[in-house]
Amino acid sequence: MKEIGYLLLVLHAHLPFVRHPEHEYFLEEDWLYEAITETYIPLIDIFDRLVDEKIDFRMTMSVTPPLASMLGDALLQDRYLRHLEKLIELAEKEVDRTRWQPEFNHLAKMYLDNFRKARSIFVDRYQKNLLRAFKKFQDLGKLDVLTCGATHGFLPLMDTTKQSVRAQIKVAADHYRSVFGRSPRGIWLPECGYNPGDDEILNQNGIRYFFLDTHGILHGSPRPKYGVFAPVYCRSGVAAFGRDLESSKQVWSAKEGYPGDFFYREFYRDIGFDLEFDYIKPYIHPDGIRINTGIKYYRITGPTDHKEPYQPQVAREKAAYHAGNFMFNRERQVEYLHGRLGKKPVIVAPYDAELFGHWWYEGPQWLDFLIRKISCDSKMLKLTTAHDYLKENKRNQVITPSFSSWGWKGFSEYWLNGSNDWVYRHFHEASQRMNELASRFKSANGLLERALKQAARELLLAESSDWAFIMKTGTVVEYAQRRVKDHILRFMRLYDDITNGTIDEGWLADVESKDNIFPDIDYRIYAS
Amino acid sequence: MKDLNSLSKKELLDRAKQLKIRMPYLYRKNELIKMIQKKEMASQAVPGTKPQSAEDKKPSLRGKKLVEKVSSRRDTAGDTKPYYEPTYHTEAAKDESPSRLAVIAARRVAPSAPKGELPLSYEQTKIVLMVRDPYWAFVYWDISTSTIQKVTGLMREHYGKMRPILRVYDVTDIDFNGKNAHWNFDMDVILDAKNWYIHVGIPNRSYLVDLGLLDAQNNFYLVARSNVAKTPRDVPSDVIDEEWMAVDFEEIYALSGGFGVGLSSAEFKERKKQLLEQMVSSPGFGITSPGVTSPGMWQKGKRKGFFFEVWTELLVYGRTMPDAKVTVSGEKIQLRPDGTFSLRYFLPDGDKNLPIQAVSRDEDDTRKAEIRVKKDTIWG
Repeated sequence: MKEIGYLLLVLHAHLPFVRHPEHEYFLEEDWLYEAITETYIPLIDIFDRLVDEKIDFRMTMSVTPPLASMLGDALLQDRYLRHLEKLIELAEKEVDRTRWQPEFNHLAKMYLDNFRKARSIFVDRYQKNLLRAFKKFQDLGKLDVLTCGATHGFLPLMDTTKQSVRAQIKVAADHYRSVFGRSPRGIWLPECGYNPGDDEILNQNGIRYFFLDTHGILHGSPRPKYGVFAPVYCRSGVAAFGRDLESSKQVWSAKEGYPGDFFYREFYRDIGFDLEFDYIKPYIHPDGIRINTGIKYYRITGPTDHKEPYQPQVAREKAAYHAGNFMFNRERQVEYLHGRLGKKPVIVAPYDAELFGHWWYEGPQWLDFLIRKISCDSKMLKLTTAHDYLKENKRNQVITPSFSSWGWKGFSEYWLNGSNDWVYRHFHEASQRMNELASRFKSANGLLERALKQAARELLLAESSDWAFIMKTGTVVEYAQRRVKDHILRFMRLYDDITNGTIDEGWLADVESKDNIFPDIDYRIYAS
Repeated sequence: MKDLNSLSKKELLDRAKQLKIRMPYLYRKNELIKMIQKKEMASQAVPGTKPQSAEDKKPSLRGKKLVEKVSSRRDTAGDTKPYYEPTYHTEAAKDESPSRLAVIAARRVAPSAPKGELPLSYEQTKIVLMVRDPYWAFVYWDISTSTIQKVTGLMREHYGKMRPILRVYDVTDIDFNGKNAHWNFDMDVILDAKNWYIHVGIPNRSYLVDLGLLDAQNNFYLVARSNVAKTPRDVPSDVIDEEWMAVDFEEIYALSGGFGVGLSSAEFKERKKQLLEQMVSSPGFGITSPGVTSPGMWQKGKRKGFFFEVWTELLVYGRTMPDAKVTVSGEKIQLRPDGTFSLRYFLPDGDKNLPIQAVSRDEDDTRKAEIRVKKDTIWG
């Protein structure tokens, strides 16, 4: 029996560009290190094993330009290794310390094994550059790597400064080529933020498809005949795929979602907080502030303060069960839809990659089971990518999708509210000045060119949607505010220096060494 | 000048506020009158001292900024009348020498911004409209110093009868000429707020917003005109493509999750927020900047009630010759270069024995020690 429907799994891997060479240790860099150990390396390990075992699979994953820039950065690679060495050292100590705690001792050994394996994958297999892994899986045809906005800027709020939208896309596409050795076919729009017409800019950059939240398709015009179960073409000819809510919910939902299972690992009980201060001090913040280390011994247990020890084998069985359940539900879904639509539906299931492993510790295992089950067992479902689907299904309805995002309430509010609305006047002003500079200096070289390139970098870094997002979540607000201000102030100083003809090379070199994203940026894209 | 003595204290205070007299309520009435007179004299001297031609215009946003000049104020109610000409249509970027641009650049950054902070104004007059969702829009505006002077001058002239407003036009499918909107409405605003959320109320419509002043005769004095922006739909389109018509769109819509859009995305956002909070495994940025420390991160996974936990660890340490071989329960341990060692164990309740043995390098000498520990915790 041939399949009657497709599952298109998308992982959106993204972290804002955080790199502070001016500090020996910088807490926010840990976001990257944690995600490497807990998410990216486990995913890479799974893909490698699937390839080794000749299990055919199709996955889609965005690796955003800021993330790719950090993964490819020598300083951060070395700092990650330093971070990992410390973790290994801590895990070794834990194996000794828990000698009389059998319920934890085997967990300490598990962490030690995992960290050593991570080191081996990082250093030996990929020479500290995990981009090689993603490129390899893409070249093998298993993984479709999507690009994203150059700094994950939320495009709908740049509508009045289209040069910024163009730059977000063009810089991303150029960077993608430099990393993956070919042009991007697809894009994950930052926060799925889509404004009708932006697809034209994607088209100009050779991008063939993007992803939207459910209502972006459903509220498109004319009405989409197949709902979100088939892609549509925009008038520009670029295809848009809509998110399936049902499959999203099974993973994301706080109430019904799998990650809340009582046998899964508890995120909040970390030895960074639990253990005796002098012992743990070398592994937390240098100022003695307790932080997560990544070593956690308990399972969720239930809505109680009392936590039971984590049992990896039981959790693994749960992950297998949940993968089976997910597949079963998708099969019922495509079975029904196939009958109703009279064609093979495509179920688009996108998730934040960092959900897997970092927050939902068993997430990578779940994914591994799911891929294996579908590839080997399912007669109805087939894994696909947008590229493969479009190759087989060339005829699709033409509609104009609706302005939308996958954020809270589905539009722009999360990035435009009392906590963060002050940023846009500065972004827009800087964008217009960048447009002015680029139009004026159509060709430049030497110091002037360096200054113009750096100005473009500062603008892009400021525009990262993460800062507005953090201001709204209320987590590290001060840091996010500082980043916006620093980048805008650096931009303004560059603008003044360029227009005055007083570029300070020493200062410029310092800023270049800090904000070193996109070394080959073409600032001219900002010209109108 | 109107006789200030005839004004009430409250009117004087309002006037003082307009003139940016600091803490005017601290002054007696006659003192306040003196200060107001002084301020008004000073401010009247200001216009014209600054060359207006130096103002420059940024490349225009979508839609056009109004540059018509109004020579006289007619009393046609509701008519849109820019009361000044934004004289800046210099195309500064084109052929300016660097020094000329430098003048502009220097002026653009408001001198009042403290170090490390962003400018409060970019010394230009504009208003920008952004869409938040199907029902709400957002505008921010900036007003140059010279325009502010004109605005306050005008408000002084029409004292108490002139108010700043936002005029919101529905310009869906219209090439707006200032008069042909489908409809419009006004909202009172505070100029200093510099931004405003507008409940435009209708999805899938295009809007444009004017910032201006409204006098008692309903004359509108335009300060700045925004770009056009369109609210998104919040229901399916009523446009149906015959060729692609669905048998039962409502069912497809429901199957796609159409009726649960708001709901699930709210929950989704909550999870995403949690995810971000997890990523932030730290007390915040403050701690990385010197001098600012914030307390630990206990709000994450906070315990629900009072709690008390006590644990015990056993610390065993000693020293021998650096080249000796030391085993604990038969397993070799690592010595520090100076021959010392430390062992640390979680110590549960009960009896524990820990045999330790050191053997000299030539294996001629062996020493043994057995640590015996009995530990109880008596909870009260």
